[in-house]
Amino acid sequence: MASSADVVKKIVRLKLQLSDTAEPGTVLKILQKLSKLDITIDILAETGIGKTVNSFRRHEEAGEIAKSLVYGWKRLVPSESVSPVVDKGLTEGVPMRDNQWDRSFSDDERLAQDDVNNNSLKVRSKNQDSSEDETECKTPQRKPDKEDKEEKKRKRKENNNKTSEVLQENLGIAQKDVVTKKTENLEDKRDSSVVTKRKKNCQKEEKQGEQECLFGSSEDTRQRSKSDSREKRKGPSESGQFRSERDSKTSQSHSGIHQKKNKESKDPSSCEISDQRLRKGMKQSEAHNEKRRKSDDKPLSLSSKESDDKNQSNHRKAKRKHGSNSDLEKPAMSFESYLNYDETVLKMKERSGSKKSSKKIKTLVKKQKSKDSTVNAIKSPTSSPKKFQESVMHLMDIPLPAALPECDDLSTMDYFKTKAEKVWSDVCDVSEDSAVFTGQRLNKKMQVYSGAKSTSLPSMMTLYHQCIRTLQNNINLLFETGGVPFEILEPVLERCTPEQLLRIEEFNPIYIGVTDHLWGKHCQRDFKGFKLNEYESWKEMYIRLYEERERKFKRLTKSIVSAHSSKPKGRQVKMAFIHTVAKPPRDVRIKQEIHGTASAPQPHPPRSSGKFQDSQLRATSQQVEPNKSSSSSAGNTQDPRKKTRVAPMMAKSLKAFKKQLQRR
Amino acid sequence: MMDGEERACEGPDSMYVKLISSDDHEFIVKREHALVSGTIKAMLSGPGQIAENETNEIKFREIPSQVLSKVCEYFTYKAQHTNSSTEVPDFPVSPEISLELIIAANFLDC
Repeated sequence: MASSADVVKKIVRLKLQLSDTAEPGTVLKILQKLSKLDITIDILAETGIGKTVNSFRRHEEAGEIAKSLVYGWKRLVPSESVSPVVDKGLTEGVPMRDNQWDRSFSDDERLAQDDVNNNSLKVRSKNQDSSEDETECKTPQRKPDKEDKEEKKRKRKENNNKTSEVLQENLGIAQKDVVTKKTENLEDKRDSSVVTKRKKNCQKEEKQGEQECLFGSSEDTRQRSKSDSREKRKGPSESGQFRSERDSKTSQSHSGIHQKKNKESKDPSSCEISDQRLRKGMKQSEAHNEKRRKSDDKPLSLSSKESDDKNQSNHRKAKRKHGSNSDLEKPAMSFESYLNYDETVLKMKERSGSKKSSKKIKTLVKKQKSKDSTVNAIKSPTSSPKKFQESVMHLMDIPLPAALPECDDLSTMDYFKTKAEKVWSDVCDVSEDSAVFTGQRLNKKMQVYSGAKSTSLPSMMTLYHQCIRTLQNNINLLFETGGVPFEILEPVLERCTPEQLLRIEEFNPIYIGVTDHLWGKHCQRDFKGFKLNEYESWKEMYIRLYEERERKFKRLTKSIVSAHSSKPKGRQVKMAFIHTVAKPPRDVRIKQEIHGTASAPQPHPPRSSGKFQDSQLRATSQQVEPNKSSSSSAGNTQDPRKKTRVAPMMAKSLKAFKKQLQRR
Repeated sequence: MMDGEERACEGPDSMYVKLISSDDHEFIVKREHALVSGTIKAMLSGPGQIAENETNEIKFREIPSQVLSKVCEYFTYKAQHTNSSTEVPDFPVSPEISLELIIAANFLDC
């Protein structure tokens, strides 16, 4: 095996050269050298050369050679099943081999369907030939979904039953598997089943420590470490790599806030890539956790893409700050990146209605926590990051301040409330608004109440003034002030009515001495003209005058009541025309006189009837005569009415006629 | 996270300051927001070397957390709407906390 050892050394050297060099010529040369060497699976796993070469797949000149190299090496690895691989940084549909376990590969298949990244496309190992084309990748992925699920289930069952040795056998199978980011998501979903598997697989993982980087599968390591983190740490076997990976995974899984995971195994570049992927994966997995219900592939992939895009921006920030590999995380950077998160959130404030920056941080932290909690469901903290993470988690576990029962639920308060949702709009008395601004059209003639208006302030009021305004609008709710100094509350008390002032003083005796000038104002307003007695405060005077007025009022009331009490109340019946004949209404009387239908003879009539007769004679010369006799008798009855009905002009003319007759 | 906070809050020119309520809730706000309050401004940038200058933490023994959280909200509200040409909505204060809030506002001079 000396030759293999040599080969290994050579490969390691070449690998270093590859990572160091920037010139395409050297890259080409190195790749060619590599292709000439005899490389086995073990070597690939040991050196991690596959990963490095894969990273050159996209290279301008050396890309093709790198690709061919990778393909060749992949063929070495016995392929059995298909697992799509998500290759974030390296994109293209190159199938990524992973040493994942059976479970994972079935998960991968699912993940492949999800298509988390725009760039990364998985090709199932089955379709490794067509892996380059993204579209090709997609279509085959969708097809075997169901098959994958079944396979997954099968594999899971198998795994559960297998011993470690059997698992080793499955290693070969698992090597085919390609792990995608989605694997993580799916793994989250099936934590319980996964846990057991992971335990078993951790042993596998050990051995596959190198193979993980077989083809630049940073996701693999990520996934593995993720699964590791989820394990209950019962696996006794821990290689150096394994542990670090696990640690990295744990911390990563703990929160997206501070994850610089180091892949202790490999190059800085690969590690960086892996870290990026880790974080992205984390985010995506979290996003996926939330979107799990959407079982449809396409929507899930789309939504996950969106979430990824969002997350990517955050991650890039963190990435940029991400330094070299280090086991410890750099929380400051990630924390600050999250602190900067509020700047974007600020813009969305109106929409989201979030409140203050600190609160945003808290909600952000809480959000992260909620996201992470799903991931951390079965997590057990590892040694070195353990302390750190615990403190973080502890911080995130701190609940928001418990509000007193009488306080609002602050999380629902939204000071960007729309006009429709004023908290105390119904309580707000518009007319009592401060002089600074009024919401009522007091200057206009027609005052129509159209609801409480939400008006804007002419200028920014200080918090003090805002409070004063609130209090002024809600004086009736004010009872005990709890020791607020009078001077602070003075603007509020100035607006009290005497009754309110009295009530407040009753509940808060400390105000009693100092409110006198307010009472003075009340006195002058209500009792004009009265003068202050000696040794009397305004308040006393007000009370005195008020009570006097009350007494006076009561007295008057009493007298009036008594005056009214003698009078009969209600409807009263009075008798009319008891001694006299009932007098008909005027128009009826006139008609009765005309037609002679009077019911009873009137005592008055003779003179008037005579008058009427004469007038009749004069009016009609001959006609009257024959009627004279008849009319005289009839006229007697009619005459009284007719006589009384002589119009004034008629009376004049009658006199004139009489004179003429007398003269004749 | 704790390290991050301290690092964010440490130093005289740190971006954030920590306000601690009477019931030990800690509110981390941007320094410029907190300087809206005259009292905090005096504490943090006063001529004397008081402890707050170093740690950028201020403990308010009389202000409970629900009040201090509302104060922090006001900081943000003010920062956003100062020099804003658009209509400024009024800052809602619920009657229940208005009394405590007015004491705090008077103390903090904001």
